[in-house]
Amino acid sequence: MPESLTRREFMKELGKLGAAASIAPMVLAGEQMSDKPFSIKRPSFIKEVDEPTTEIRWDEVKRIAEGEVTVRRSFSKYISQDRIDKLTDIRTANMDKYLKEGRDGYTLKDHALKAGAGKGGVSRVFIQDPEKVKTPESLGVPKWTGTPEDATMIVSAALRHYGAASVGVVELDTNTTEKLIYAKDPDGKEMRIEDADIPEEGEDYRVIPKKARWMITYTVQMSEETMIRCPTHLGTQTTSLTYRRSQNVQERGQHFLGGLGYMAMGESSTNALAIAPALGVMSGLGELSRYNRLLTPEYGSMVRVFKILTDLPMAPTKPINAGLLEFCKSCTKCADHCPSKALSFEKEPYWETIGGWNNPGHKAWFEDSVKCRSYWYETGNNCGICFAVCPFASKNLSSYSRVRDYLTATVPAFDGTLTKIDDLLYTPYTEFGKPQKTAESWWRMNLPDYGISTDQTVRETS
Amino acid sequence: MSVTLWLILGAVVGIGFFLTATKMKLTWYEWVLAVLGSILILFAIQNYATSQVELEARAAGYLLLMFGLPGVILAAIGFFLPWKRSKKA
Repeated sequence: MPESLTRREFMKELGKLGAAASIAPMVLAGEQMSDKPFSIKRPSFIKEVDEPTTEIRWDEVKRIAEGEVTVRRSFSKYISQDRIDKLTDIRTANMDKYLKEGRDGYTLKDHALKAGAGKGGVSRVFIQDPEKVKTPESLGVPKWTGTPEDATMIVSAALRHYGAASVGVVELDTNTTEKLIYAKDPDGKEMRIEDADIPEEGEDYRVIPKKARWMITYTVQMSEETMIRCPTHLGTQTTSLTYRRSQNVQERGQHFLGGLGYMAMGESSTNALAIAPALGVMSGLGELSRYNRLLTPEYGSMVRVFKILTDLPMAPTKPINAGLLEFCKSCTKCADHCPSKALSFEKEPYWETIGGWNNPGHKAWFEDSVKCRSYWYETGNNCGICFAVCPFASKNLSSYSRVRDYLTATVPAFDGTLTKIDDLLYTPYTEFGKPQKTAESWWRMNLPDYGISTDQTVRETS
Repeated sequence: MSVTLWLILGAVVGIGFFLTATKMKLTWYEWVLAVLGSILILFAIQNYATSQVELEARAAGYLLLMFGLPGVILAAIGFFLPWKRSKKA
């Protein structure tokens, strides 16, 4: 454009720009982007598989009401109010005692750190305010179009840029994976899946349009150095901080998808919308572990899992077999170290659930969530020892980690030996129910941003 | 470990093998022992250094011992036998 324009020239240039803007998305989407299938770049010994390593009987899987089933939300359903009152008194007394005696991990500075870690994230919402989303329509251009593989690629790139560690996609199927969407969200709102054009939220319901078939799953890394100092205030703030960071990823992701011209339904509160570990398994972010959570090849247990539902057609990512579930069969480390004895010691996962909080229809090492939750009251924190002692909760800089991952995926006979080596190297003298390292030592460390390493994995299309 | 350190290590190992090849005559199995031992030593150094970065001092020590010790023994045999032979000659 010339430096100064007459009114007539200006209008003429504006016309050219408008034409360019209207065809740009088509050029971008149709010609410049790759049509290669989307696949997470991982070492070749991590196999993509058609069926996940967790066995599932989809006909037995039912959509559950999160708020009415989980111990997290409905503790009083499983134990008496008297017991809850007693546990609450124990918690209050313990927290007061630990703070005043300056117990390691419970000092005033640890308490303050925990308080700060729980702040800062934007509020979670099911759908962003349409008025605030910069849609293609508002910019006068058509919505983004491209191949499903391109869609997965750009969404993955965007979410990782916003703070996600790994990203997967599940294409929902009515008879299978759609059942992983809650019947009711944690706040009690009914989750209706209907033939609607747009998502909607009412007083006691949320509408998910049937055409929104693509569930984006993503992990957010946790800091291993704080997590291994659980169960303390210092340890527990790891999860608080990660959840807060995930809230920002969700909001940004929703605006990104809205900016492309598609709907984006997120979690209206922590652990809302759908069953995160199950979708993590189905999208190949990891495998289901003995501690009954997602175990990933890249970050081990040091992640939390989240999801966003969209109508942007995306290429799904396949489940994986990295030998992790198989490893858990011979490793009982999380169960050994569990202070409340809530985790299973059975060699094989099983179909039978332990309590109403477990979701039937898949083979797992179902945990006793009531025992687990009760212990949280004693510590005044959300424990996390099972995550912290996992042999895969490591920073993966040493070559030994790679050898361990390779042997885990290829030679199950070595699994027991690898667990013993992990005991020797990383958790030799851990006192039962105590942190692996002192909280005090953490304050003297010089750790990277958020205490995580963002170069533990390579994520590219292949 | 930094690239510079690996370059230095590579140069040391390279020069070591060059001198060995030019000054001594190794049998095939001595070469195998020397190379295998050197690989294990380098593996031990990498694990030691990165475990220190991971703030896992205990793991660093054990990994150095687990891979370094057999590495040193193998490399010592691989280099010692031809050295002893060359001394006799």
